[in-house]
Amino acid sequence: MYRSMTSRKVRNYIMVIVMVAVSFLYVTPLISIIYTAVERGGAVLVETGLKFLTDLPPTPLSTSVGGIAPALIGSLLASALAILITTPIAFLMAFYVTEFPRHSLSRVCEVVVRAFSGVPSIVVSMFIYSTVVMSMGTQSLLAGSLALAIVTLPYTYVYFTSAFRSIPESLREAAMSLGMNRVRALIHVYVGVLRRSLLTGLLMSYVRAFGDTAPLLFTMGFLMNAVFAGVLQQSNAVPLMIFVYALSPYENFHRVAWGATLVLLIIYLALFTVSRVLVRGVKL
Amino acid sequence: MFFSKSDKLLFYSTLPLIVGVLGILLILSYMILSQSWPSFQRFGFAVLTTSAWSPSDDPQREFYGLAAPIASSLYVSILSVLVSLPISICLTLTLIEILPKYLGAPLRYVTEVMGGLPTVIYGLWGSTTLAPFLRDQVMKPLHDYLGFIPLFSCRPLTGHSMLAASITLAVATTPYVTALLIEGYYLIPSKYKEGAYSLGATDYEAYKIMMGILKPYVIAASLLGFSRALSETTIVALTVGNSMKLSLCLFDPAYTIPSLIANQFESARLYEYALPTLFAGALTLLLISLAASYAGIRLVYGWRERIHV
Repeated sequence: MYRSMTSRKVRNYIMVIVMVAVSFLYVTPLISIIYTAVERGGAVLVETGLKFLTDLPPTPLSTSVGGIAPALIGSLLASALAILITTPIAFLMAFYVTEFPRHSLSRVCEVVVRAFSGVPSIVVSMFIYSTVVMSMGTQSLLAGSLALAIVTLPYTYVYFTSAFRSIPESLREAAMSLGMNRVRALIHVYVGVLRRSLLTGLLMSYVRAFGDTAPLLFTMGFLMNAVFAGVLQQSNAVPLMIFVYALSPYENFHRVAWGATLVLLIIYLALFTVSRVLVRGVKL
Repeated sequence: MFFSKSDKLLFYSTLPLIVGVLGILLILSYMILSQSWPSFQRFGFAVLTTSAWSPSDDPQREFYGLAAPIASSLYVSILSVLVSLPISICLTLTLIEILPKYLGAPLRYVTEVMGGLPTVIYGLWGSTTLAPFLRDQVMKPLHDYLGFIPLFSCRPLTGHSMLAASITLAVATTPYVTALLIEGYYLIPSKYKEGAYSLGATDYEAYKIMMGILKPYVIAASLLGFSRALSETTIVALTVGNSMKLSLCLFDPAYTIPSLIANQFESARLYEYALPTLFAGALTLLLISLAASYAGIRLVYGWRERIHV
């Protein structure tokens, strides 16, 4: 089909403008999210001040907003524990796969990790419930961390593999020509070169675990009457609290949910920005 | 194969980890299957083909069927992919080809921020801000003027509906789909673009050719986005309205499998067959999600091998 040059040019301009417009339009939800969180959560935070971070949650009928201390402590600890479990596993697996990409074990590893990322997180939650929670007799911080670990493993693995893949071939050859074997090269050369990207991967995995709700639904419990009860006891998490309170019918709980959302948003944006600044320093 | 003793050490320390991780996956599948077994035994495959949720203290009178949540799950996820895919394609081209770097970099930063944003924040925003907005600005006018079309035939009530859920899901999964498309776009050899321009194509025509080459990757990205949308719990549970209903109308509330599980798990423990039925739902979810991701990943690898010949 023949089209004149003018009509093709007009078509081109229109389509390019449409694509740019759609792209910028896509940003509006984030602006709306930040605006709503600051407006509704800000009111709660201004009213309670720092006590919002250190007080216990309210009961449905209480007039004060209370605080989110158990959730904050639970989230910080459970995500840290999850990262502690996944990091060594993901680190070794990622290193092995980048060093021996054609080895059959590496292929198995790739397939298994891909399959892991396809497992819905609520299914992971049910799995941990029917194994760990059932055998321990109670929901606990440990069970929550295990669920989080399973969910974050594929992410940590992907961050680490892309870090290892970014090692320049020249560095690898230099290390080998000095007579280093792979493990020595890893310890003396790669880890030093990659420290920022590895740290970023760690931080991003932590952020991911911190913000995840579904794995914790049936595993973490919902601790409200103490800040911290122990690793083997019920605990709470910020996203979990937002989720449960948002579904509840009480106005007071909705206000807590918004305050917690603002806190979560600030923590997320801060950690995300730090990890980006870290990446910017990487020049290979 | 092995070059040195230390390589062997590396092999033997990685082997148990991989076997362990594989083991967890197998145990997980086995546990979900065995927990759902009583439900399959009692109801047979009717549990997947009928639609009911009637718990009872007398196990003989209990009856459950997951057809409605399964259908709504697929409906909502497909809809969210249909919304997010065009946006992702626009974003991909805008970020890589159209915008100069000083404008593209901030936009890319923002999409990355949106990609990692905790889903519960999307859920809360979707249920309190987006759903009422959609109800007043989109659903009501559509229902008033185009109510004869089955998709718009029901009266929107709270705004919490399949439409609200799929749009919130689309907003949340777009960065993921975009990241996949960008990754694929960079793999296209530059000769195709050069060829297009040397034949006198306009920018838009060149983009169309590039997207044509990327087509298997686009399908793969949709499959992976679908799998992600399907398994998303938090966003859907907060926006879909949670009601056991089989409907084609976009403005109706519904249950998806994850939102059904999230809502009913606590009380299901009290009844003999409710919990196994939820596990049957989880098994279905797991199978569909794994199949979609597997198909997507196969497509990606196949395309990568073909494009680099």
